[in-house]
Amino acid sequence: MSMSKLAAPGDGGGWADLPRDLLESVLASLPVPDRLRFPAVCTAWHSAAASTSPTAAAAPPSPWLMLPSNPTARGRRAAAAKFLSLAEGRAYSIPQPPPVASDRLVVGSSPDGWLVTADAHSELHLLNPVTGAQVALPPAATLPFVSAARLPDGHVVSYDLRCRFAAAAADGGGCGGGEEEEVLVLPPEMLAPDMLRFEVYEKAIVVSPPQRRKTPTLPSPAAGETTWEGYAVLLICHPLSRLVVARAGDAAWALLDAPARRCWVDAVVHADAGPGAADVGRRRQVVYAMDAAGCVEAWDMGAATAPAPARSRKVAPPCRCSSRSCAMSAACRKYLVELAPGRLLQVHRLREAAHARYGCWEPRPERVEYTTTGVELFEWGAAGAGGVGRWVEVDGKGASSVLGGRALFLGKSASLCVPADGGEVRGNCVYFTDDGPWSHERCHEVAPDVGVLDLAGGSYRPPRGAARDLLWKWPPPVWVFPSCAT
Amino acid sequence: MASAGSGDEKAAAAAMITLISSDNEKFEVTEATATLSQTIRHMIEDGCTDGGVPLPNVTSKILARVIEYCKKHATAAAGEEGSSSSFSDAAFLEVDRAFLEELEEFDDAFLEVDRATLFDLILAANYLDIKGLLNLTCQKVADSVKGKTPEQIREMYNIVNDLTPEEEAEIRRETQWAFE
Repeated sequence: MSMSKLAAPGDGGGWADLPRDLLESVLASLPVPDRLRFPAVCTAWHSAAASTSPTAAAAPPSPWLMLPSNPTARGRRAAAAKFLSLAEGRAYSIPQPPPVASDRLVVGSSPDGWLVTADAHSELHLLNPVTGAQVALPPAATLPFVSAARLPDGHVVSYDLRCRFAAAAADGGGCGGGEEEEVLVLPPEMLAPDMLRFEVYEKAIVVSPPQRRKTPTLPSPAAGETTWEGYAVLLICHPLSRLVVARAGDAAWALLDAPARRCWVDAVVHADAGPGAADVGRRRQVVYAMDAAGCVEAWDMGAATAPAPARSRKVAPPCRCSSRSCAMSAACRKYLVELAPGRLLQVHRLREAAHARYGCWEPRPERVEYTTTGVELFEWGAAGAGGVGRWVEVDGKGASSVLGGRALFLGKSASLCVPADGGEVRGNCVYFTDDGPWSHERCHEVAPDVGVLDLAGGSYRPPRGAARDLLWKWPPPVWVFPSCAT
Repeated sequence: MASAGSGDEKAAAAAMITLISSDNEKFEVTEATATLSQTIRHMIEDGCTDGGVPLPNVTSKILARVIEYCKKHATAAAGEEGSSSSFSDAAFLEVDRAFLEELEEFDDAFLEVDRATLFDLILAANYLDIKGLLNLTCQKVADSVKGKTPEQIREMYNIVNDLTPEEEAEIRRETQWAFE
């Protein structure tokens, strides 16, 4: 740094000349919209922004709620998606690349700002809604048990679901090849192209985010020609809640949990705090997956390369909450959160059918409107040598809260623990979006269960500033952790 | 790591360093306080602090504030020596909560300064290489521009817009939604 700058008189006139590296560190701790406004201040700030690595981010995630689209919007606004910034209490309308945002169902959202969306043909994309960057994932027709009926021009008319596979008789680890295998066959189903996404996609987890290929190629003539590498997406999909994975370069989805053993409900990417953690390309190789009974297994995604199935190891046994028959009940959803590297928390979201409170007629199952009534929290207490670990119910209230003053974001998004920001992201609160069971009818006509549960007071309210937009129902809202990195 | 013998630490704490501001004012501080500055730490290691450390880029007014910060944080730094700036959860629980709260209150009060002083503190923290103070002051600047339009930021920090209208229009056009 030059000495002349240090000698700048302290009359406030030097702000434009703040050394570049300092401007960069200010920039890195700003949320996304402020980062984008920053370069418009002056030349020095503009060039600082240009030279700051977009991945340099010191700020904790500042969550947005992706709002349902207003069906009466026309023109430019119809091609945009609307996001409510919790910190700012205001919404941004951001133009999105085709297919139009209002035709997309978001089935996953990563801490790095990527959404996993399913379009009206049930095709899956990775989309960064801030930058408009988009990566096509392998076709839906390559999913296990799914085949497509096509017109001569290749257009998909319908999808067939045929489920025949070998299942392990027991869930023990020593499943030898010579053992007797049981073949399960579910009734075949035919689904319209836009129905597959409701029936088959449970939740997508971005194991590692896409990165632009670094090779110094010619400037690409179209945005579609950008090549992406290094990504891996895990999808919990039906029938029977299997795990499938697609990595950069894959032409098809590959089954991960073969043979079928468990009914998976949630998964989180293990935050690797070890050496190399700062290197995006090398970190985040282990995924913890949880089944409906609360068992957790760890999958090493880094060791296996497609199509070889990855190995898993058992982490935690089942966990039961007080909800009646909670394992299979639609009224109890389960989420897995990593509070800190290796510290696992499972959240049981207790829900109640809204009509039960009003004592009115009972709607058909697909029209039942749920509302969250509470949570039960269980922390994994790994035992010492020789002992057996178990899930321990923990308290979310007060100073001793297991959340330690942080907030949880749950739904179709990555299950994420975020520091409170002193504003609308409040400590010891759980921020929920609706996550099913989904169907075309439910997503379009039943009010989604979106709200903030205050663990201390027990109140459950829609996020501030969202109530009006939540009168629209489609597409179902989801938490977004915006990033302008890619 | 802080595995050095306690005898060494006491000796280090007792040693005094003289800092000399640009306007020739002298400040006596303990070595523990002074070594929060990596710049001074290196000078001590190189054994060139006899007769005082001249700091030609820092005025006495600012140096007094910087020393105030370092004194307060020197005790905290002794506890987390060797670890990075980010707390792990386990470490967080071990450290006395009340003390951290007090430190936070101190930091908040410390930052209640006018923009010119804030600017000088940033430059001093940068020159003296005091990571905590640099993060604190940069975060203060970041917090102050959050949610502001470029016009508001320019007014707040007395910055002249030297972008051409074309340049500014292009920056805004790229991410129009962030300016609406």
